[in-house]
Amino acid sequence: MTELPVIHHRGQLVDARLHLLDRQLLDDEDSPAGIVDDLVLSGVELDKDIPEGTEAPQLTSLLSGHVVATRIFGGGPPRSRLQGIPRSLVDSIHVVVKLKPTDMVFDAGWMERWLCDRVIKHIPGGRHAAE
Amino acid sequence: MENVTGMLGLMLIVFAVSVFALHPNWGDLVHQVTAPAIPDKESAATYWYFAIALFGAAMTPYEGFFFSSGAVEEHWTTKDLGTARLNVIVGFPLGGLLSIAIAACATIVLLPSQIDVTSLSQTVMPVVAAGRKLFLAFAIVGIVAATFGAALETTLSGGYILAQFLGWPWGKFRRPAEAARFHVVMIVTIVAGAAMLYTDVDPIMVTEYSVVFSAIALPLTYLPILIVANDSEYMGDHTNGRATNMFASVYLVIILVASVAAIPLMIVTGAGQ
Amino acid sequence: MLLSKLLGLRVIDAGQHPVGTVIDVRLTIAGDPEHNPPTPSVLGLVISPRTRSSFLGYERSDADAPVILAALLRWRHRGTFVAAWEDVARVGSDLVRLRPGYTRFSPVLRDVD
Repeated sequence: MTELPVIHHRGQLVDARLHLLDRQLLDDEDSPAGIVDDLVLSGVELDKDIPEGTEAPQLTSLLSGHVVATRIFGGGPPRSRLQGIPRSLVDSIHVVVKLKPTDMVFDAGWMERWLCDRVIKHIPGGRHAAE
Repeated sequence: MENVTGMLGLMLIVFAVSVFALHPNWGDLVHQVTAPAIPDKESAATYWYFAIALFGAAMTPYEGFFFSSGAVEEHWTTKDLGTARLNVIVGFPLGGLLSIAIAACATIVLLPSQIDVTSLSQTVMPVVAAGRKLFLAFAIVGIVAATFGAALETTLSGGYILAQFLGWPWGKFRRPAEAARFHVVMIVTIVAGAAMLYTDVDPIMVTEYSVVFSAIALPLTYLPILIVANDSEYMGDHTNGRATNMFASVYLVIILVASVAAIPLMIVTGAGQ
Repeated sequence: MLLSKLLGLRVIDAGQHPVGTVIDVRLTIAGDPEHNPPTPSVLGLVISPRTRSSFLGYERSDADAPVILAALLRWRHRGTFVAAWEDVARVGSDLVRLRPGYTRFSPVLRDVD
């Protein structure tokens, strides 16, 4: 396909935007936990020369928490509003990103909780699942 | 639940039966189909506009979301691939034939009297004319089932699309308390849809516009599905074969043309006037 | 640093000549991504000279179906290459500078054990 040399590497290749960003996050029970909106890299800083021989940056966590406006128009909410998921919680990267069992609450946001408490619970049958 | 509405919807076959029961002049009917003559007052553009509308109604984008989400909810495996294919290969042509039957009925009975169809109840006039109350009963059950089924599909589909795009918990098997936003979206959709009936809005016009817009949106859902169907990371060994890809690419061109032509035609024909 | 800050940055070489745009960041995982993967580390940047993002990554895979689409997208993104992280001299807020004598590597995603 091309005559460019193949870069030397050990292990499997994963392209961040192609394989990780925008993928669904599922918790250990296969419930949606969010979408991978950004990734945090350690070991690299903006606007600083990188000395030769520096170790390559590593992926330390996934971020989730974009809202409708940012999903459609781009950009992102401030870092403080995004939920960070340590990469040690990642169980599998494939069509979806699956997470290991954890006590972490995947913040559905105040809207979900509010609707749940104020609206759904008062509708008959709101607490029961369909068969 | 969805299977029941599907089965009952099959009662629409009564329209096909009515075509025969009306004893039309077959030669005349066939001639009109194969050599259409456009009355002076109308233009070919109007007919192309309606062709696009029919197209949009046959393969609406929401079906992609509805079926794929249903497949996840019901934990389909590769064994279900055969059923899914059968569903498409038998179901869609059947739907097309029934549409032709309904159009034929209207042509035979309503057109000679220049009756313009302005409400759903008028479409069953040919069935009544075919002479039997039983036919009418079938037609009514079929129509109720078909519209009910469509309402279920579109409501669920709206919930699926929003929830999946935004990362909310979703699923009709999930307790509403655990997927609050998903269920609220569906409730709001149903209420808004029903509320529209109480306004002065002409339901036929609403149907026409939505169907044409779905034809415009069709390539946007079709293309990703075509690409995923060829991606071995998702499909494993079941990626598309060459023949399927060939048909799929031809169809892609057709729907692209339809999508691009829809708005100009809508403007030129004044939405089919 | 947020990875999204890297995507879309202009890339220049040591002589200030424009080279392309960062369309992706290539990571390597010393293990199986599908079974408890260890920490991924950055292998390099995927840079495209002609386009500012990549649609679906056809230029990086061996996939060739549907034929027309694959050929079209591959042609559109021709010239895409990978620059190793060792060849990156500086990541700024609006551009990335490569070291003199950087190597252009093949963008094709091919796994090596």
